[in-house]
Amino acid sequence: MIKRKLVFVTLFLTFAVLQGAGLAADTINTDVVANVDPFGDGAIALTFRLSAAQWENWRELYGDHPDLLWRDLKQRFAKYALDKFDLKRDDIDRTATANIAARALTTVRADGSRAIEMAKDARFVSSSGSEWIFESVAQASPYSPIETETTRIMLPAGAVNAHVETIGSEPVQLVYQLPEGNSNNALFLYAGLLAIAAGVAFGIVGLIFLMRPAQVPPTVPR
Amino acid sequence: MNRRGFAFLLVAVVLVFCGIGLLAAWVLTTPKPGALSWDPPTIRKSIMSAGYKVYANQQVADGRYFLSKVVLKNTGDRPIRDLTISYQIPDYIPWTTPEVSSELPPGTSIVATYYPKFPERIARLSNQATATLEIKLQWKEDGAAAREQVLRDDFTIFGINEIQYSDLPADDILTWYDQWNLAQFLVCMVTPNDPVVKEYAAAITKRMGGTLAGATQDPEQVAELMKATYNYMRETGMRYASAEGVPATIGDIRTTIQTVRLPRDVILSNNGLCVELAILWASIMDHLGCQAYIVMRPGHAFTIVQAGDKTFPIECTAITPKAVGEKTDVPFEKAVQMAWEDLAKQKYKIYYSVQQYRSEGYSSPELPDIDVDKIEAMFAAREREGQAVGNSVAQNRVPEQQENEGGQQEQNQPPQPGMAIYRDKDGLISFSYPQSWQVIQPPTGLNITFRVYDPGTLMGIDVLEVPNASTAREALRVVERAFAHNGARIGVDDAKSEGNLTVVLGHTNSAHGSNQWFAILHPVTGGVVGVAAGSPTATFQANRQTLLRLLDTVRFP
Repeated sequence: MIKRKLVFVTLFLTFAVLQGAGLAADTINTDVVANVDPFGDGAIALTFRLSAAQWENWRELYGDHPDLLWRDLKQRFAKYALDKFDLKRDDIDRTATANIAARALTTVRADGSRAIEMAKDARFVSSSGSEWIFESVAQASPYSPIETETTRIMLPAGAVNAHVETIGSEPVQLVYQLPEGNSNNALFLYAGLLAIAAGVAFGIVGLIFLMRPAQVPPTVPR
Repeated sequence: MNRRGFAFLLVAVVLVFCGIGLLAAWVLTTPKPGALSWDPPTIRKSIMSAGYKVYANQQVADGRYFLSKVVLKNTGDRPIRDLTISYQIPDYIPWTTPEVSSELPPGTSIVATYYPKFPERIARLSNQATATLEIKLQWKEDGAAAREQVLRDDFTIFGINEIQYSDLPADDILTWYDQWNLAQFLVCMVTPNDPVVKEYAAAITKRMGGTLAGATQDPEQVAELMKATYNYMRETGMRYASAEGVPATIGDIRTTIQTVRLPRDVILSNNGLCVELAILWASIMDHLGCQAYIVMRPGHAFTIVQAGDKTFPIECTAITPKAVGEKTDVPFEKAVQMAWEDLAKQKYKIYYSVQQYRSEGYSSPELPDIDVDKIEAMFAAREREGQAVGNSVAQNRVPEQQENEGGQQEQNQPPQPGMAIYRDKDGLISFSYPQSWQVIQPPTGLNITFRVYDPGTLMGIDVLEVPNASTAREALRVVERAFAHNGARIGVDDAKSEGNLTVVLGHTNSAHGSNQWFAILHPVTGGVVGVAAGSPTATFQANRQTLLRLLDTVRFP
């Protein structure tokens, strides 16, 4: 199956920065929070803040046209199954948050473990419980701003043995396991069968008692 | 006594009811088997055969050019095992090696995208065709037999020369850029390693002393190379031919489909649309190691070459002066200036860096082999023709000087063996033609006073006399009107003037067919006289050299 990489920063910003003149020295910081559910689907929230010039460009291209952003987003992230999209922007702070619902963020490996592909330039920062933090830095061209992305991945509750893997020169993967839920419903089956068997046994005994001739108490001869 | 029996029976009934309850609970809590479900697959409506390598590469544009995408989900309560997906495009691609997912746990989804590896022969598809994509899904559900489902849908494959400029649904198009969101596929048509392009580039560099000037990033050398390319095109008869794209609808996609030939076809036919010439330029420059860009702007395309910190745009169509509104030859420097001016005034334009797009995977198709010796011979012949046209203009310019040196003598020279001579009764014009050709009565009302033709090849020569016209341009207009009156259309593809002489390359379309021709026109007292030599369009290229040789013999007073 096709590998999908969790990198979103260029999604919103590439066009914005290409349009802006004299922005090469700028740095754009983006925070990505990806909540992965037990089924491997996820909700991604992407927040960024831009300079006044960048904001103007971005707003003209995408900010005022979230429908086009959604269209381009689906095209540029063709390997994902993106379901829902919502854009909230704050023109005062020049910040925007995009919320995206995506299916199949994880892949199930042959050993049953789950894996999330990370971008090639992603660097592991820290982990705490189910939260894993990565950073990446990219620059589309010498004339483009530097884009830094901090990605926080929240693994589903119950995820165990989470670790970062490198396969050869392939990009790192965040791998975890999700124990299968125990469904001991066989107990119902055995208990039910036992109860019915016991009921039948009791029924037979009861019938035997009922069918026995009534015992006549001994009488005193007169 | 019976009370004990009743007690047992009562307990038995309670136990049986409990047992039934527990069994019901078991039934209700038993997981349902795995169930595979999927959304209707997203299948690309059309692909371009020129870019077949792009569709095979999932790295290009982050995998945007998939042929199909299907999202599969296990909606059951048990895992689905051994899920495999394979694809087939009958007549093109046999069943692919299945992609296997050993387990799909309950509630999880996978996204399966397909990037077809078409065989090279798809690049030989000259017209669009319909193909069918088949997606075979096989899977096992716990406790159930293996299952299989085949999904099918049709899509269009465009011919090698058909470019689809957008794949956005009509109601998604907002800006001019949206209409060109696939125009980067033009980079696939840049073929720097095609032997025909290599030979063409070699012929150009030969004129520069055989140096590969373009391999350097020195702006001066690159400018020299571009100038040599431009002049070579002009001198060997390359010309601009106009055509527009055709609007097309594919499903809900409304786009422009344009016939764009590969550089080798442009070289072989020696004419091209603006976009074809831009691609040819990009191919030559790329072959010679220069950084080339194709620029698209509303209604036009041209090429930019970058060398170091300098940029040289070139109006590729200026090789045909009429295309850029000029009457006389446009020198290289002016063609560059025109492109600069065009760039400055255009609000909408897109630059496609050939090198960058190719490195991203926009690769050229594999092309059929071609006889390079024939190509070399063709280039040599064209160079001779170019000289012949130049000489023709030059020779006919000379009589003014020669008149006092025996010019009349030349006119009275005996014809070459096998050739006959036509001389206008007033001595306005003369030329030679093969004796085997037949002189026929010219049609009336078309300003044609003499007609001779070869019944075998249908090549022919007309003598034109246009009274009261003072210039070649005016004479052409009169002739155009006369032909139009008779239901035929004349088109001028190129015109070159030097002194009093005008050499024209044109074509005539009528209900009887189409012809291409060269004409030499010369103003005389009281009008304009001229000679047109041509043949049916289908055989014009083959007869071109002969026609030019005949025009070489035309003499004016």
